[in-house]
Amino acid sequence: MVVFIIRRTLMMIPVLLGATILCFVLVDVANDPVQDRIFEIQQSTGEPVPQSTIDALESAWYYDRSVPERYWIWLTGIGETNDDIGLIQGKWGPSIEGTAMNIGDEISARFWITLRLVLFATLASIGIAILSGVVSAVKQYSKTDYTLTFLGFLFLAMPIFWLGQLFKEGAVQLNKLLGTNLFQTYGSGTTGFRGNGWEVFVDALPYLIVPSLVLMLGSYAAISRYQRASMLEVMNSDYVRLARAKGVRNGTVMRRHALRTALIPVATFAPLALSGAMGGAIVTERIFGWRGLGVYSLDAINSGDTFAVMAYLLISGVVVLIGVLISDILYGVLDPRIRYE
Amino acid sequence: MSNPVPALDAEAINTKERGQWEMVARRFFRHRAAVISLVFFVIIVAFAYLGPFVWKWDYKIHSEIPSWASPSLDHPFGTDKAGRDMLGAMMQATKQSLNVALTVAIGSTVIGALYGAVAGFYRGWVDAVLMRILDVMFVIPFLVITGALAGAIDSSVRWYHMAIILAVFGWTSIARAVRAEVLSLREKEFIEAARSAGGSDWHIIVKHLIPNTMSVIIVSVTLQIAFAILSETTLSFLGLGIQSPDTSLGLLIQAAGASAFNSHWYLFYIPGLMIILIALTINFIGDGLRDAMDPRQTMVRR
Amino acid sequence: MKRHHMAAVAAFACTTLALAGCGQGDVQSSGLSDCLTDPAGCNAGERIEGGEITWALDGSWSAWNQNTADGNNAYVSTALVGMWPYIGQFDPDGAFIVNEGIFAADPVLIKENPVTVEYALKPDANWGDGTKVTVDDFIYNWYARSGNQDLCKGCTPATTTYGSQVASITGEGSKVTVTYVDGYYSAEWMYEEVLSEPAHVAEAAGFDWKNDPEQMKDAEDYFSETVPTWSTGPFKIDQAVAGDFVQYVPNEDWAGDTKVTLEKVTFKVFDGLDNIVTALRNGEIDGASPAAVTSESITQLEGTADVSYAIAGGPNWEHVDINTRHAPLDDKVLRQAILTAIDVENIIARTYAYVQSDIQRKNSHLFRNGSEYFTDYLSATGQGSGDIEMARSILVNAGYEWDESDQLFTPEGEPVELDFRYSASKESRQVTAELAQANLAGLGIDIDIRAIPDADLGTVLAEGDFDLIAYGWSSDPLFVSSASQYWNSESQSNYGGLKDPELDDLIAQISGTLDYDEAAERANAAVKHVIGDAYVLPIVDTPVAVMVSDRLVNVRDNWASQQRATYNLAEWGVSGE
Repeated sequence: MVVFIIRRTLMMIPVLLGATILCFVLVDVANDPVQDRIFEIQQSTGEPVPQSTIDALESAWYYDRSVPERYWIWLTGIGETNDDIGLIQGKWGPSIEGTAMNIGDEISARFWITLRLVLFATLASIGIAILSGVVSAVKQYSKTDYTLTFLGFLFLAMPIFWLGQLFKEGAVQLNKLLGTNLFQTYGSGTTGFRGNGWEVFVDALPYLIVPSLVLMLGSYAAISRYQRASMLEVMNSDYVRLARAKGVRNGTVMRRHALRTALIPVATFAPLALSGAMGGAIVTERIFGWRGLGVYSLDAINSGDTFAVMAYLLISGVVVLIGVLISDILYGVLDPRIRYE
Repeated sequence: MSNPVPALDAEAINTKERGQWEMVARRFFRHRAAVISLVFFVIIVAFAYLGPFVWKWDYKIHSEIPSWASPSLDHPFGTDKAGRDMLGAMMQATKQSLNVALTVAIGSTVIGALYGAVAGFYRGWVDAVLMRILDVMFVIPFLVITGALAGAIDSSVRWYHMAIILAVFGWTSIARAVRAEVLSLREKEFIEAARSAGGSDWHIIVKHLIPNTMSVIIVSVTLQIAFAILSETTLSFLGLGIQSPDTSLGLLIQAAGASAFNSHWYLFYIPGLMIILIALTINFIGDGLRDAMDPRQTMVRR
Repeated sequence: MKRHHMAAVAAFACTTLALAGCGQGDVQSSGLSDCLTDPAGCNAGERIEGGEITWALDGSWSAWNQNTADGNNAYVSTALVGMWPYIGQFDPDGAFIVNEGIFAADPVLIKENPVTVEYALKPDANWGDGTKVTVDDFIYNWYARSGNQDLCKGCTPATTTYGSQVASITGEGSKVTVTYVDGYYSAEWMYEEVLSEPAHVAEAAGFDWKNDPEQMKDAEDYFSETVPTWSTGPFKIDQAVAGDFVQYVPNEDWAGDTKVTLEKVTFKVFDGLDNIVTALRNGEIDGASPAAVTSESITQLEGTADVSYAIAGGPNWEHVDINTRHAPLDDKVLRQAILTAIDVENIIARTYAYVQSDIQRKNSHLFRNGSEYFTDYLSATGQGSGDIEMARSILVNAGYEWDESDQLFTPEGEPVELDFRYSASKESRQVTAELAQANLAGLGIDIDIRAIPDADLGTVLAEGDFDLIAYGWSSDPLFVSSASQYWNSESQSNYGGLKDPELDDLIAQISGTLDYDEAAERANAAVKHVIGDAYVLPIVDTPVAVMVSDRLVNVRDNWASQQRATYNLAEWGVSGE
């Protein structure tokens, strides 16, 4: 098992490297942040930008080098001039947003914001999905089953940005109707809020409910379909039929035999769902103004902030790969038929 | 000298196949939700591609169209601020979104099926390399890579730009499914036979392996359509997709803004419902096809 | 930092039309609806003691030092308006008000050759930490913005127009004297920004900025990365996150006379207009003056109780430019015909008029309609009239020809086919492009409309990758330097590459006087000449809105300030009614 984990972890490295090369070239070639910055400054000052400033920007962002050179220095930091770049030395490189927006700090701060949203939404969706999946399977071909199935398909077909807009506007209307400010539409907490852990949590709730709901419905649909299918498979399997034939009560069969086995696929799927939702949170973050990783990556792409995109790519890549790894390990642990060499 | 063998073999497969497709069709038409969805989908396609020939307004701005007219007989879907008939605009947007979806479905399926078949057929180091490349694609967040590419196009992003980008990055799931199928198929007797008959690798892949993974592929195509519609509209909404003067369902929703509960509600709901309708019908059709092609398969895609 | 010219605010008639003007659900006695007749005094009212407010900003910033290229944008200048040592503000009437927290009087020109200006500090002008403002702070600002490697090595000032012109700064007590180099001669000497960061804070952080140019640069970086806790304004920063929010509490040590009533002011960054409007309707924020406004968002605001808004021409102006480097557009005659064929009134009617129904066409590149210096040289030329007949006759006279399918050919026999570019998300510019396309079809010119990804406008302009382009300039407060920035042959921002030696001469003369009226007259001569070059066609001053919760008083928009509505933050308060 340990050997398996080590081997899989080592295999991540070439995959991540390949991904960074591909992504680096695509993002870097498409943008010229130096030109865009000069234009911005001119717009702001109404005066020409000194050549020395332009040169300094180019050298600070390593735009005085070719694309391959820039990638190389990003990876290794060999030949750096500002002591701020070189992935293998643990440095993310300069952000075009300037030194006050250090990439490493931004990424780690935003990681927790995104994780809070995603964890809340995914756990809720898994819980509800298991429940509705089991109900669907037990009452197969009943009205309840059809309704739940249809709802599942409906949520699967719903673009999350549309749902987000709808719920956000709905929350505003509900507030107006009730004369309260129960729901907040923008941000992840009261700006500049100070307090202990519990107070911060209570403060964040009005901000958390609607976006979590939006994110939840998206992943709920997939998992509930999954749960229903695996439950059905187990219910039709020989050992469950045997247990029934022996006269064990239906409820006991369901709880002790069927459900336990049927949870295996969903359990192994959960890490994948979680890591996938980290990516799916982009739209939700954008609509509800959460300063999370997803929005960070969008802004970085839009402004051509290559090193910031790289950092996001690495973080999300590692999260996804670890999700897959945990899922595989869980599969081995939970399913006695599978053993890893 | 071994000519007669493949001929016999091929014939045998053909007969079997015909029977199989008949069975599939019969089973599919027993799936009520799938059939109803198919009818709806055909209506949507007709709406998008034939509608503009019938309806009096196109999707452009006309000075004689009042702005922000509520739905009426003249403008069943209302009009927007600039003076655009929304029914005409919906036809155009649906058409563009479907264009993307269908192109992506076909393009990514072709790439994915060939890729998966080659990987599964050769195994060994070819497979290893191809699968690692697949892992690389899997690791890159989809919205990031497609968004970056769309941003790299230095003039207006049209539907075909979007279709190409989505197809180039959307084929990985098909490749995996086809590869898994091919890995088991390649050991079957008819492949042995084709090989001993001197069939080239390419011939075997294209004529024998891929046709026998058709059930996987067809289901993938339908899923790909739903996936492409949702990704394209999402990207357009984020400002990373199709741009004006071209249009798409995502752009229409973005333009509607937060009007879900005010007098311009129709600008928000109609394109949204159209996206849902397309994705929903496609998903049901895919479900029906899967049930029809593999009655044993109860596992549903995630 | 941006200064503001004295042009008086345009007098826009405020109508009660649904989409226009200073709308308000019900008619009230005072408030934003008076902003038309009384731009500097509208929405005034009695304040009660206390109150906490949140103001939305529609853009973000990533560094705290406005001297540098990283930290120079309108949003950081707004976010720091409560504490930054600006020289002063123009109010919406165009009157200059010197910063009451620092200066005892307006700067005085004490010598013309070389230009020498004396600043009178308030005796108790301080940095909010007990330390007085001194001549060292003036010198620090000069070094930082000098662009001189011997003063600040490796610094990246956003502009060196002021810093590179200073010869020396001396001072004693509350008098500080700035002496400029011999060549400096600007009618706008009074509005130069002479302060930025406190020298003593740099020293306390361990930087010997005065003697070591490298440490000067380190000090600049330090200020870039550090949230400023010092303050020369009515408020000081309690906590802040770059690009996210700034939260102010009152600055007890402020030397200004205005009484501050608010207990807490938060500036919070929002992504886009729609989110701001939704949050305002939901009561999460108290107001905003975003850089753009759409008729959709106004519709939203109309239906909201307790929120007022006012719409007027903002600090940006829209225009269509021609790239003179691309043949056949190097031919002035063709350019004249093209600009004549474009129907500006029609464009406005189908774009900006939806937002501001009484909007007027902009007829001067440098002065707003209604400014005392405004002169209309444009209308008489027929440019922007949409007169196809006239445009065609201009071309006929110059030897242009049309083939049987009405395609235009140059006298050399080349077909005229052009592209028209605009930023993808700007709907009004898209419509401008489409209407110009229709207009120019009448001239037999084929237009290919190509949108620009939003982040790439700067690149496209710098590379000159356009034939025709619609975009906006922030309405430059300094007409003295703007003419040179827009049209000088050597200017980086002369994106269409106009090369006109006569115009260069006219531009050079603008900065040759210390007299403001004289400078304006010379600027008008340059405007007249550039119109003859048929290079840039102004469309409108982009309409903007200020949207405010009814519980606030003394909040009003101010086009003349880069900080817009927040220019008089000290006076803001919660209504006593």
